[in-house]
Amino acid sequence: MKPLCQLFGETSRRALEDPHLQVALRGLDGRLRVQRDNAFEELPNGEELRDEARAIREHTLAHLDRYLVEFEENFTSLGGVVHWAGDAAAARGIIQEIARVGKVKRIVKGKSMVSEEIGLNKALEAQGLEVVETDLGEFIIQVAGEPPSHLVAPAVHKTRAGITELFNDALGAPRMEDPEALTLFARKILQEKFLQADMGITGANFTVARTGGVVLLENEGNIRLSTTIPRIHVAVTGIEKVVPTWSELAVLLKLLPRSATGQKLSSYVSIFLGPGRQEEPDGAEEFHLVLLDNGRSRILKDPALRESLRCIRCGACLNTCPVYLKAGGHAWGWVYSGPIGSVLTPQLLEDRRSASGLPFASTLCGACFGVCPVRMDIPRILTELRRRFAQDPAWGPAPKRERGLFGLAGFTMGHHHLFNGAGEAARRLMPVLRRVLPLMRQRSGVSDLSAPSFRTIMRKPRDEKND
Amino acid sequence: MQAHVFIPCLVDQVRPQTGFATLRLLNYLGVRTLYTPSQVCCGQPFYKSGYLKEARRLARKTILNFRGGLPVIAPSGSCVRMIRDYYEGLFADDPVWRNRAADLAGRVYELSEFLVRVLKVEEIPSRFSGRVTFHDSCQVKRGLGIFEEPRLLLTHIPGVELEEMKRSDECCGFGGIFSAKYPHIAEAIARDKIGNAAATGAGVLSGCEISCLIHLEGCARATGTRIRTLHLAEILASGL
Amino acid sequence: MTDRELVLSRIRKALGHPREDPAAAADRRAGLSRAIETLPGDLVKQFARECEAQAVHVYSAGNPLEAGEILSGILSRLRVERVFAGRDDILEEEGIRSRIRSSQVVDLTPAEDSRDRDTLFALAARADMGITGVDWALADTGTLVLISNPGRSRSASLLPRVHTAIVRESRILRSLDDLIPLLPQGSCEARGKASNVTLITGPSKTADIELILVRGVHGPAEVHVIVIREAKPE
Repeated sequence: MKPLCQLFGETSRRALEDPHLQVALRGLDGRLRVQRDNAFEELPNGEELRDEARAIREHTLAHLDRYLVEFEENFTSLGGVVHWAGDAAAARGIIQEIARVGKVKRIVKGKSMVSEEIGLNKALEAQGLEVVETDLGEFIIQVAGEPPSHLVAPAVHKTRAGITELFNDALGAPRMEDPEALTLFARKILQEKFLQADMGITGANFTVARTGGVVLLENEGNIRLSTTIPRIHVAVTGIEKVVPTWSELAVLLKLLPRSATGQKLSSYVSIFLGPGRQEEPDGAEEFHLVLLDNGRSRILKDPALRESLRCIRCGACLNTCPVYLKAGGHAWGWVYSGPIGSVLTPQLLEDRRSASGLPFASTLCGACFGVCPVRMDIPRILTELRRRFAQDPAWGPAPKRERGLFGLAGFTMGHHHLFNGAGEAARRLMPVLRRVLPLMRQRSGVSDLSAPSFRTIMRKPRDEKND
Repeated sequence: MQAHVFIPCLVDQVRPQTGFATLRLLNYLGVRTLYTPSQVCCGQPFYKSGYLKEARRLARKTILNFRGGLPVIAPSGSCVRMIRDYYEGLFADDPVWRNRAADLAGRVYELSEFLVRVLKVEEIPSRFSGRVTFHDSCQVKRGLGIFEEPRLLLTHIPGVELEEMKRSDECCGFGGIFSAKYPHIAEAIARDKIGNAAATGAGVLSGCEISCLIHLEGCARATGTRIRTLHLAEILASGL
Repeated sequence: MTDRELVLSRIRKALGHPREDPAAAADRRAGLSRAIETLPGDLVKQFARECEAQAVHVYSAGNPLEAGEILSGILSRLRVERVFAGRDDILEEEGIRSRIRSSQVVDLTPAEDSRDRDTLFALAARADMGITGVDWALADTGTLVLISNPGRSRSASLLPRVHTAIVRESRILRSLDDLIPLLPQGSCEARGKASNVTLITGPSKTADIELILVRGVHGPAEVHVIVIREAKPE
């Protein structure tokens, strides 16, 4: 999808005026966030687990090449094929080729943010292939032609009335606003698609280096179906998703479902050890795993930002972010939204500058840091990204006018007479300023505009000084 | 004992009464307060916006202004956090200034933290009365770990009825430069907060961070909500 | 330069000098696991409790014959007409297979050497209920562990609207941590074994529409588990 991050202000403004979206966002807050908190309250040693998870991710990243090579060896010895993709175009090309060689016509897909990141669907459709999203939320937005608005619940912004309308228009469904009926309708359509598909494309939550294992979590069952029925399974995932052994996997499996939805475990955890064996009745005959770089190794190189790669895509930060809960996911204009969206988008996009507003779409409140299972210090990362955009020529720098303003402000505030003088003047001009500068209208929290400043009063020769 | 008082920019220019309350309060408790009118901004707005050069300049001035080893007390969580957690990092490549920064970081205190943890005072004979609800600013609670201290102080005032609001530690939506870049979101977040505060029936919304209070006051006025904001210092110093 | 070489070289350059090797992590984690394990107690009770929390129906049987009776009860209560079963040992027990082969239901379970995938899936899709054994079960999350094998199609616990699993008490483990050492520890070991281990916790579900919970999206809407409380030598 074409990134539209620079429209954050505009899109969020519209989001605030969308009552249905606001109800949906309050739902995320009231349900997923609360469920996550409850799950961690019940979990003994939850804090230690998070420390452990952080250590696991840091360790893995520090030895990433070793673990990826180990995974490749083991996955290959199980009969799978590993493909390395330097960037999105390479990844698309690889998967297109697999489809071509496999004489694939129909594809079913599990939810994969990475596949959206590389614009996979469009490329495959251009090749004349049918690509059907099978995760209910992804199916809905595919039919609607919209991007996902949340990591875990991609269609959370849509109402049942909207979905009814959509299904009726696009799929000839009868009008039935009941979520259960809508789901059943989708199930029927999709079951046919599973049975006829030649290839299943999924992401991967984790790859296990020691055994060549590939792990996928889900609640619906569409990933199981996409990897049981079609002959070919293609999993596409970021290079950072590897874990050393089952032991590390177990720690992350305790944290991921709880962080995402408050569940102890997802309905289905599928652990693949290569393609289906000859003697097994089902499972894919061919199993391809595409390891995607697409800017991740560049993040790895940067010690101040490497932490960004710890993410295990749970979505907890979205559900707890006061800004996300008002602006909604579409405001971020790309695949990843919320706090992690502000962290990754400026680092992954070719055109970084278009994402320069995202690190500022945060009050740096730290609520995200408080729930992140791998203890990513998101406020610190966002502050660093702000610095890059303001001062680093490779990222910005900020427009001359802004730099000038900050330079002037810095100078003024560093000289107390100037600062005080400016303050006195501004307060006197406040009624005028308010009419002229919209942002000043907010400042009606100021109690008494005509009173002199603390400093001014303290400087008076009267004895308010305590020395 | 003697101590510096560090008055945040917004208190200085917009709510001087908070500054005076701070002085009254500390003086009452026997602290001889030193205010240097030449003090400048701690540099936080520049640091948070990515302008490190400017932040460093202000940090150096601040460090020099408060040199001498005395404790520095500020009625502000964010300024204290800036100094305590971020000053050293500003001088990563400069050992001399880094040491000076570390020295200052070791003796800077937020007001309620100073009262409760250093002076070991919880009971202040404030004459304030009324129902109060308390906002836990992000820099104060998550940043500095201060949560109990303001409550200990408030609940020891006989006239104060402390009523906790729902999600007292939820961000108020100000976020400094955030509210300049995305004011509509800042306002929307504040509305939730004011709603929660008003639901307690409190006439006063208090906190340790003046920027939050000013932002929330603005929202209360814009929505016609009958609640006013008062910094903790002003409640504590009432009648002193 | 292939993409593989390119990506690996970028990573190696990014990492610069070598880091420590964390063998100590294993010990630390073992300690953490022990601490997390819930209080000792009846595993079956805990398993049942966790299953119920997932809206899974749990039944207790003293022996395979009783289990068969319970199965019959479920079949008639749900008005099941067609079943699809895995060829698991437990289902061959006296008293259980006979229930499946009885006149009550049509057994769509494919013959031993049927390798026709399309037929397999079509049959499973037509069934009202899938019946399987399990390889393991996890008490602390109410989870069924199914390891793929030649005799059991994965679709048995996936395509029909109802899945019934029969579990021997001795196969119930305390938690995921106890399952880990039972999995293949390396690819050499895995090569000769199963290609898939599936952990099933409750029915298929989604909250994608207005965050309202709906069961039975793509997988089973109902899960029934019959636990046979009889120690059986392995």
